[in-house]
Amino acid sequence: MHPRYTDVPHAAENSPYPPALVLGNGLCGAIASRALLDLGLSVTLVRTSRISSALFCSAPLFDSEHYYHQLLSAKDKDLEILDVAEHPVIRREAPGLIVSLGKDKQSFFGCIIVTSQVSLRNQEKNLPAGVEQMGTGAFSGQAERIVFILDYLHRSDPAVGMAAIKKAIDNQMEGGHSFVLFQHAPVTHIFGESLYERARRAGVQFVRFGAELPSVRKKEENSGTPLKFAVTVRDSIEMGEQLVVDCNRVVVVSSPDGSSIPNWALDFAAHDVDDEGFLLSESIHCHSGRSFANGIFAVGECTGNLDLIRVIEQARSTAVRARAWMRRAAQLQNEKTVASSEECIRCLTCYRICPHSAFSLIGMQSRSTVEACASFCEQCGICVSECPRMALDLESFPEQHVSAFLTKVRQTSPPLSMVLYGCERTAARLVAKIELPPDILFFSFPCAGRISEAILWATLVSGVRGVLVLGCHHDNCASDSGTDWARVRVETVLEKLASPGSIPIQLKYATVSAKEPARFRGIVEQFANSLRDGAGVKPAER
Amino acid sequence: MNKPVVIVGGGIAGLTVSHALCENGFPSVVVEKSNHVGGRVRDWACMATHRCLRCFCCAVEDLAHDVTTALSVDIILGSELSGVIRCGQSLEQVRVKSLASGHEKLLDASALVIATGFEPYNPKEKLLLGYGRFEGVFTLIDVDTFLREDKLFRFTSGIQEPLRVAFFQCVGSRDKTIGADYCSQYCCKGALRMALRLLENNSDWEITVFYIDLQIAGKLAGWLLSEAKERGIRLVQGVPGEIVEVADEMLQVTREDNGSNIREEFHRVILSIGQRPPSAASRIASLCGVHLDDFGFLAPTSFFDTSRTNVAGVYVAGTCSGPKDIENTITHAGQTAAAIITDLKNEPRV
Repeated sequence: MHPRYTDVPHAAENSPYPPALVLGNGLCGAIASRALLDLGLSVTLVRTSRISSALFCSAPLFDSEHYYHQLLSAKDKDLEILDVAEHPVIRREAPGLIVSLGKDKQSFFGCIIVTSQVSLRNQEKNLPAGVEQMGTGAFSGQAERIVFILDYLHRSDPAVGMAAIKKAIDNQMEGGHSFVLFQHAPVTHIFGESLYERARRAGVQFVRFGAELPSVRKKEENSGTPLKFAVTVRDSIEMGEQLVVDCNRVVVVSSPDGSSIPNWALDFAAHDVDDEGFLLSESIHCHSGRSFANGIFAVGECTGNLDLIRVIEQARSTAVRARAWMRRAAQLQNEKTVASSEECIRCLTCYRICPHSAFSLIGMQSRSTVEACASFCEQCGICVSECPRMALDLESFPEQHVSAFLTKVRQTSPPLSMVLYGCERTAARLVAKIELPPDILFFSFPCAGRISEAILWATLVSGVRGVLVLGCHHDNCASDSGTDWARVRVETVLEKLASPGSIPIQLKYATVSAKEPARFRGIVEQFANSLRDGAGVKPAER
Repeated sequence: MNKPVVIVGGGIAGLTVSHALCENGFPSVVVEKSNHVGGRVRDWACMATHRCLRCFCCAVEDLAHDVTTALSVDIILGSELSGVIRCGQSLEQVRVKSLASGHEKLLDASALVIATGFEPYNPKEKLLLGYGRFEGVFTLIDVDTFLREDKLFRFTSGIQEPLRVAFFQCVGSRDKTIGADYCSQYCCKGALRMALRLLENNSDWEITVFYIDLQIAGKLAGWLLSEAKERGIRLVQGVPGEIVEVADEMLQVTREDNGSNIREEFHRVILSIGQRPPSAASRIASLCGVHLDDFGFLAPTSFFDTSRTNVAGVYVAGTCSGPKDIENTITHAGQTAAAIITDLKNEPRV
């Protein structure tokens, strides 16, 4: 437990772990909290508004509101629920995070699990007024003629899509009439198919539309019928037949919209978002729920387009990872991973670029110094390579390792034809499986991000004919951007090499995964051939 | 030291459970019937094009490395589960048998995890698709093996490029006639990734994907679909039921479009075969007393708890309890580890 803060929420009895903070108003936050409590941790659940209503759009599938209260109602002394008006502010402090929860109240937490509300893409602007969006309106439970439109403009969310089908069944059972228009039926778990079976037996009418979207027309007010809408759809299966369905409600299901994630959630998740705007740009190596920014986890629909069972599984799985992470963080608390020298000019480059947010500012704001916290650090060495003053060094992989290797390269006789640089989790594993010719030497780095421009230049003048830098595939780097840093540096060096008077040497960057021995062999052979043919007078093609 | 958790199956699910337990300070023993860990995912080729497509198959390399080097994990290769010894309600020991020698040994167990994976559907059962009869019909797994071994020439040999390739989705899934009325979860994304991977080196190939419904959710889902459209992959609703070999070894399929029949010819057809319950499911179910579901998978207790079974101390992880892709298997196995730690409650002091 952190010694410096007195108002720490009490940790679970006999638990060596600091408490965890779960942030969110919805079901997912409740499941994650329950899972952490069950794992023997103490939890503070922070809610920033009343219980989210959008969350309960899955309500037709089961009584989620009841489930929510059941999860949190247990008289649990390890659970604290805080409803706050203002969004909390976080600060990193080894081995966890300090969160200000209201005035003068700061608490220390071992990790933060962010679950945020995410809304579905708003389709109403494309449709006449009165068309509803699944999830936003309550269902009255009266027998009605309802048309559900799935996949309108965007692929529907699987959880909400299945909830819509369940609602269609309920409406049919109550004596109403339900139509489901769709492009792709969501059956993303093993119970999926049986839901359709039930729907068909209940008399729900399914119509699959093709490229032509259904059109919704509002009927005139005083046409003497309670049916407000006419939906026209072309059935892509039954001979392209055109159907017109009159109904009194139209409900559209669309996909979750990454850009609807509120700013506070983005702040909490260290702005770690994927290409579609959802939380976590996680790579394969991060395992579920973990952010590159260590200590931060995110679960639920805000991390992508998921079905309900996956959300539940992900929340629990993340809880077990969070526990493991806190355990490791506590163990590493007093270790040192990155050494900094007198050369440091406090430019804060390392603080800015670290993918794991391992650096914290120490001292006054005008003259802060940085310190890497071992609890967060993954020892990728990106900071070491990018430091403009070369003031940093990894404890586990010091500069001497590299210079010793370069000395060996220079002294090898006859000279080596090629030096191969790569990451220990991909290239090194491939090299272990394949025998390299004696004139090629491999050197393994903790991450391709550690291969600095200085190392590339030093290698280029060491007497070898070619240097091949092997990174992981884009988006597969365990340190998020390590492989991209390596690519940029190789490109920078090549640009300078291409100028007149450049030295006769070849340099190339390629990507490979640990599972691609054939691709690896191909890349190495191709490069070796180009060394032989080109006699090294021009830089390798980009 | 406390008794370890015994995990039957050293595939990605078993390794993930073992890894998550190990990270949390719980010892485990992995019992694997083959002579290496990693299971089917170990044999799955990387699908990266110019970027990672998030197939998750490389996760097995990390896991296998971490688990085999961990001090708190024992790995027993070439063995299978042969008995469960209980004392009243609680699990005491399990018996494992070496497949080579038939020798049995007893292991102390605090919990038992079944992670025996799935069995791929045998497409020969679908006579009309001609798998095994026509040279041009392959499964997704066949093509994957060619890719991994860098033997794609076995797929393309004897054909004048550019190739016309068709993917048939849901072969052995969503099919009532064979008692597999469920979605296999992995094949839509798997086929799209494979199509993109093939186009990476052969950009002039014409690729068509015949599907029932595209089940694409999760991260990168939207990207996969738009990339597929951008790369000119044709997505066609409705899977033809029959393949006929016509002149020049071309494969002819007939599909219905707006009530009229359209014939199309392809050089190669790739069948996306579904996941069936593991062959050991019924044997293991009777050894442990775990129920099977309607399809023959090991049944978890409920919709909300997909890791525990009807027997106390026995858990399921991964595809033995229902079809999943690799990403979901890892998530599910993580949940199983959470369930075990919850039930064992107190961390053993080492």
